[in-house]
Amino acid sequence: MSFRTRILLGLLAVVIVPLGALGIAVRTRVSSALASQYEQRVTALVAVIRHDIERQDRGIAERLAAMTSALSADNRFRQGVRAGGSADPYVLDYAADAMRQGGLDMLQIQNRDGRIISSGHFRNEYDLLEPALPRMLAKVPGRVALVSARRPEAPFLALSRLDSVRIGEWVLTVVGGVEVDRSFLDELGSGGEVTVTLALPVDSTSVVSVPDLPADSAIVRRYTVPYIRTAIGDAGEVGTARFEVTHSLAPLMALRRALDLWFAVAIGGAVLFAALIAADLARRISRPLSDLAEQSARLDLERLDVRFASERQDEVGALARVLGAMTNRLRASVRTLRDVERRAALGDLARQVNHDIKNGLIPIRNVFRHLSEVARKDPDGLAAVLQEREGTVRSAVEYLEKLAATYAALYPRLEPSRLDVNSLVSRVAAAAVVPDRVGVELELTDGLPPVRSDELALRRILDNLVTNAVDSLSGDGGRVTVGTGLVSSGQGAAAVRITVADTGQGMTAQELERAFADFHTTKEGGTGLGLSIVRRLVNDLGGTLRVETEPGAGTRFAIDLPAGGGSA
Amino acid sequence: MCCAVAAQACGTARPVERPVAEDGCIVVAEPVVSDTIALALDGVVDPAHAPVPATLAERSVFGHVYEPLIRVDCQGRVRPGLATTWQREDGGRRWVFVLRADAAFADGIPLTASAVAASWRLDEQHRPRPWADSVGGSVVVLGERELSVRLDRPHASVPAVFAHPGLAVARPSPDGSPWPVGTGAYTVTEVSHDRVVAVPRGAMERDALPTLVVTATGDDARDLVDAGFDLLVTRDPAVSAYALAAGSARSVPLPWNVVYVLAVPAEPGDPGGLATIRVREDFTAAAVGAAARTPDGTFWWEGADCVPPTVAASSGSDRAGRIVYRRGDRTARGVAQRLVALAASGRLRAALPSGGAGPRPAATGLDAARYDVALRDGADLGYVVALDRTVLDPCVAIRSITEAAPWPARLVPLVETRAQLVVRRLSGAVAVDWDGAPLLAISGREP
Repeated sequence: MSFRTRILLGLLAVVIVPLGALGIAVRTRVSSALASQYEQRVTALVAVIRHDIERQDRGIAERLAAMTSALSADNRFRQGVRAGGSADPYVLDYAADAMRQGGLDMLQIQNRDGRIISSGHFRNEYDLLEPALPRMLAKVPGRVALVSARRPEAPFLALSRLDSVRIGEWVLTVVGGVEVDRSFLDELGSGGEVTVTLALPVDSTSVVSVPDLPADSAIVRRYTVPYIRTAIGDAGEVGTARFEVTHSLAPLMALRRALDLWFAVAIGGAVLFAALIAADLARRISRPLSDLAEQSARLDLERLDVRFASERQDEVGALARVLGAMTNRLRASVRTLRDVERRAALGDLARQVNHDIKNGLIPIRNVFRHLSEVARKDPDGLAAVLQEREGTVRSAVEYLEKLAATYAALYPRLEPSRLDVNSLVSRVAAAAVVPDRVGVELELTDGLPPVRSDELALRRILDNLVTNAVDSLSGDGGRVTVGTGLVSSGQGAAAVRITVADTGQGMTAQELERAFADFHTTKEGGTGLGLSIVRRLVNDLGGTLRVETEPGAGTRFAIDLPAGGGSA
Repeated sequence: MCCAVAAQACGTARPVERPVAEDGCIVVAEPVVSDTIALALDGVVDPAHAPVPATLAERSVFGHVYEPLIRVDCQGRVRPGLATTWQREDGGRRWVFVLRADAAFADGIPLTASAVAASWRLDEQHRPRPWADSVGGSVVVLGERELSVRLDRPHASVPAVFAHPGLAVARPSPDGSPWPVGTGAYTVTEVSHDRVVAVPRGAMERDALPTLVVTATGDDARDLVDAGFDLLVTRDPAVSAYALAAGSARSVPLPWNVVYVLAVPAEPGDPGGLATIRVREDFTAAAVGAAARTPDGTFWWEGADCVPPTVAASSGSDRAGRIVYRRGDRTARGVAQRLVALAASGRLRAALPSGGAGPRPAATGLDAARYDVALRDGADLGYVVALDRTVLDPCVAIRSITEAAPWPARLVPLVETRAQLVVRRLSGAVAVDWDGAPLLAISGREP
């Protein structure tokens, strides 16, 4: 699991767990509180309905009492009743006028037989028989009930009660009430989430619809009142009507959904924020570590130019500085090692020179010993012997001169100047002595910056490498590729890279380890100084040398020289 | 349909109950002592309807301003009108009329046969159909004052049918007035939304007739009483009672001229034509708000020699449970509401479709336009319709009914009503026309 993933998961755990716990707690608490409020509201509304119905009942009773009092004192009504009732327009219209003045919606006056003699809500219902209505009203508690009444246009429900009046020998029943309609219920419910509906017995004609609400989506309380349904010439029936107070849970559900949404948004935001923080931390912590790892991977004894500089004051900066210090110590150790190697090489060289000089001086000493012996024993033959041995002396001197030239070549003196690498590479490739079976190819990159270097040393380096490459090819021939390019040196500086690659026999690891040792050669007649001189010259030029080889596949040398010619 | 027109002589239908009058159709007469009479009418007078009246109030005004070719009195006798003579030719298929020599429009332009023909072609949508269409298209001008009318076949109602107000002669007003120019004894000189002043148009008429100041209202007719009146025409007993209570007035009943029927879809067993079902239910005056009586006798649509076209009846199962009446007609409303009450008691089973087994009826008032549409659709339980008690031609009236309600119907006569003429002060005489409309009698030309 990556460091970035660990940071992300950690942050998520820190944010989501408490946030989710908070959401669940708030949701539960709010739901409980609102449900409790709804319960209280519904219960209070049921009490209001009961109180309102009782108040309406009292009002109806008072108005009916006033009407019956006025009725008994109305001489014209009395005369109309005596004359037959409904034939008299005054009697016929009496209930309508009294109903309007009394603020009622229903008023019906019947005689003892149950015959309607005046109806306020249905004027022309006169002379019809409906005795069941007052009879049933007289039986229900409080003599008040919901009554299914009729108008010419449509039936309606009325909260009605019964009264009576005696006019002479006639006893008249008076049924009056107020309409219970949608507005009546809406006033009780005050609109909004609370609705008041009225449910009538199933076999009755419902004038107020009851909306279908799922039981779990509302809080419902009920209040019952007697219900009477009669019709002209019908026995009628008494049942129970229910006022149902319903508080929809939709607001609660909506609030829950809103809470869920907001918590989801908060968690989503936290996740996003955590991801951003993780990315930032990764950028600040993980990436520098990755960079340090990458730089460290490039370190080897042949390439210690990697720099671990950092301005950071945190652990990463400390680590970079530790690596930088370690690299510096390693670089010093390499120098020490190189000095040791050089000293060892110099010792070997001294011993070799001593041996070579001794070998060169031995013939000369033998010649002088012979001449001394001749001069002492045969002075006259000295000239002949000298002439005879002159070739030996001359050969020994030539040997010594050659030996001196050879050793002088081990360490030439450098004279840096601005060089066009592509031009030099082209000239070296063109001057190379190449058998017919070998092909030399150039892969040059245009627009390379110049390098500041010693032309003779660099040419010597390239001559050695090209010659070695050509020599490494077997009798079947092969290909030598010399290329140039621009690369980064590792500290952000540019470097010009020269590569010499062959398709020859390559080297084993052991061969590679010895390849740069002085006087080590695998070629007949070789001096064993070629690659040793190449490595020294590259180091002296401030460059780096890298070798990639594989037995049977070939070898590739890469020389990186700092780009930029500087002042010539 | 409720404005059903035209024509059968009174004598062939149910006899008109004659008001007490020594001179035939004169119902009340006083010496001419005043030059102005205030005539109050319970109803609206719309000049746009002229010369074809839509209400009794309009009939009471238009009858003074416009004349037909002939007149029919309350006893069915044919009298000269604009035509002094008429002649039956071609076995009754052709009628030739000769106009009165002194007949002229109110603006003095002499009346010609061409003017009569032009008048019948004028504003045809207000003319009684289909008679006027036929007459308007077949008239031939024979001379300055002579014209002929060709009919598709002989009609028993001719020439009486030419007394119909729909065939009264009129000419568009040259000054743009909504009132067409007529040839009657009166001409309209002043008009407002509830007041019309009509003056006698000639010297002879001015000597014999007073100026008419007509006030009309569609609201509370007792306002007319409070405003003062000489003659009051109303159907509302409460209004006439209020007027009489003010004192110095007497009430004269006019003929029973309107019958309210319940029109319901015909049942499978009904006879063809307009089947008539009798019910004996009491629609008292108190219930319907008008002088009322139980229908009696036969009606002009019964046994008429013309069968309405048969149209398939709509299904009874999808019929709306409404008993529809024309809003604004208080009597129709009372009738409809009483019908609903009786239907709830089961006392109208015989009259209602499917024996009253359908939905519980409800009374529904519709304005005139929607009422006409509903009646044409025939999708309701029943319709309260006001029909003229007397017509000049039963077949024309039946055609009007079947055009208004193009479905097989049965008619249930429920109640007959009539208007009251309340007289406080009269200068001259009032006679009733063939349809019971009260008109001032003109000496020598009374109906």
